[in-house]
Amino acid sequence: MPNQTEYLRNREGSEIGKIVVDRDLCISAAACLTVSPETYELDGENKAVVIDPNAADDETLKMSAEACPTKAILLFDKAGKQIYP
Amino acid sequence: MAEYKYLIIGGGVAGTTAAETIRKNNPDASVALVNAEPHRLYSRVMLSKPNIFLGKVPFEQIWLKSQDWYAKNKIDFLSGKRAVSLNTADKTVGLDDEQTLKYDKLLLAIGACARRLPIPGVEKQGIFYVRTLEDGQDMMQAAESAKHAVVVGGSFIGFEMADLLRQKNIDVSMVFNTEHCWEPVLDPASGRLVENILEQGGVKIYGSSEIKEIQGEDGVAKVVLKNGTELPCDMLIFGVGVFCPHEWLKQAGVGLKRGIITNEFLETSAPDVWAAGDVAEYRDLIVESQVILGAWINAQEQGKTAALNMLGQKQPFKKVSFYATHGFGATVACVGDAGPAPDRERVVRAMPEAKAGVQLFVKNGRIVGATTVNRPQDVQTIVKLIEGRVEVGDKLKELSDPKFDLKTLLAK
Repeated sequence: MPNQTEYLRNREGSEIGKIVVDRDLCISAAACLTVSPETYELDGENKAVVIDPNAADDETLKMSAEACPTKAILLFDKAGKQIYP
Repeated sequence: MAEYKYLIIGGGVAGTTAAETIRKNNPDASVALVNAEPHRLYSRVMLSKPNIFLGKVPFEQIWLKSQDWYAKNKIDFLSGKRAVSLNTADKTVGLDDEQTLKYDKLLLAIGACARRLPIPGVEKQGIFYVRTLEDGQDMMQAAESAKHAVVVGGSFIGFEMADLLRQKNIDVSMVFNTEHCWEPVLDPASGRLVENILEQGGVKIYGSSEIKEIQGEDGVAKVVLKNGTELPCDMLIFGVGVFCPHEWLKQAGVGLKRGIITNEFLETSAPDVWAAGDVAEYRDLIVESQVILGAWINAQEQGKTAALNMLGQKQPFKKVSFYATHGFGATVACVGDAGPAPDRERVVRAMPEAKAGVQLFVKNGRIVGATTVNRPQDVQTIVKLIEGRVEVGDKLKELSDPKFDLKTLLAK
């Protein structure tokens, strides 16, 4: 059973409807939050969590997911289809 | 001779981030990225992570850039080519295919090389170093049929590989030449803690031990320790740190020590030459010493800073890096510049009943680095204490009491 946390996004004009962080895959590299500190932080277990799913534009959000060296951040479109990775 | 405004040697995360940053800030400048490995950017850290190693996800997940990313961003990607010479007066770099490239600004992001030990029999099949994509693939294949693995080295790579091999039901022995594992970074208490975690996970520990000889026909079959102990072995993995001779850079007169020496702007001793990533031994303004660190985020952020400085900015690299490893249900993390030095005190916060421990390295009354075993909740607090250069010189006794909450130091 994957240990994932889901964050729904309703930013206007965005094609991304959901951000998912896989906590088992997260190694606390913190690459995501250097790309988008307004979206992520590290929690008490030193794992990435989303603090504001609507803060960043789509390009920044995609870059933050692409920066993760363990591909622990998954992005889904409004219809629920996975768009990254 | 090909000429580039920006020439980057090294296609790992530091070099690739630098190329990306240059392109973002200058849409037209000529950029070339030379990569010794014949691959586009991939996640080196995933090579020793369960998802890839145990085949839980397709191997293709390892790629972090698409094939066409380089062309789309007008980056000349020279992969499978190694830089072998540098002339800082003519501003040229020679490659192993006898090509010479001229640069205006040069970035050396050449990474590190796995240290190799001169042990009799080390040329046999079945011996692995955890560095390249091929190393990872070869190990994955060997782990399909291996029965007995020996891991040499008691730190990060050894810990992660031991965990993965145990998950494949392979018998694992760990050999290291120090008294306790992960020495000297970990204090004896934390080291023993990690050894207990390994042992409970079924790993046999051979501390204060060195390999005398590797035996077998073509492939490794047995490892003989200096004290005569014989370990059956069909898979031998070395994780004994990094060592790079960098002869070509020495000949070019680039200042070197453990890595390429840079100032806080990641400039090397040579004009218009920067360094970033695992190879950079940079001036760290926060801990006030030269620091060399092999960590993903450090490499990524240095690639970015070096690129901005190559573009004409003057940005110091200031970041407290940290990295963590997970295995056998435990978490071990290194924060900042973790490791002992003559000018540092080591403050140990032992929490044996929780199978946890933290140690802090204090220099001139400030924390400069730390390690945590099973205490991930302390990592961000320690990062903030290092970043904020919080004075703790008069609190070393309190710090060594695990009941003392580190967060109270932040409140001030």
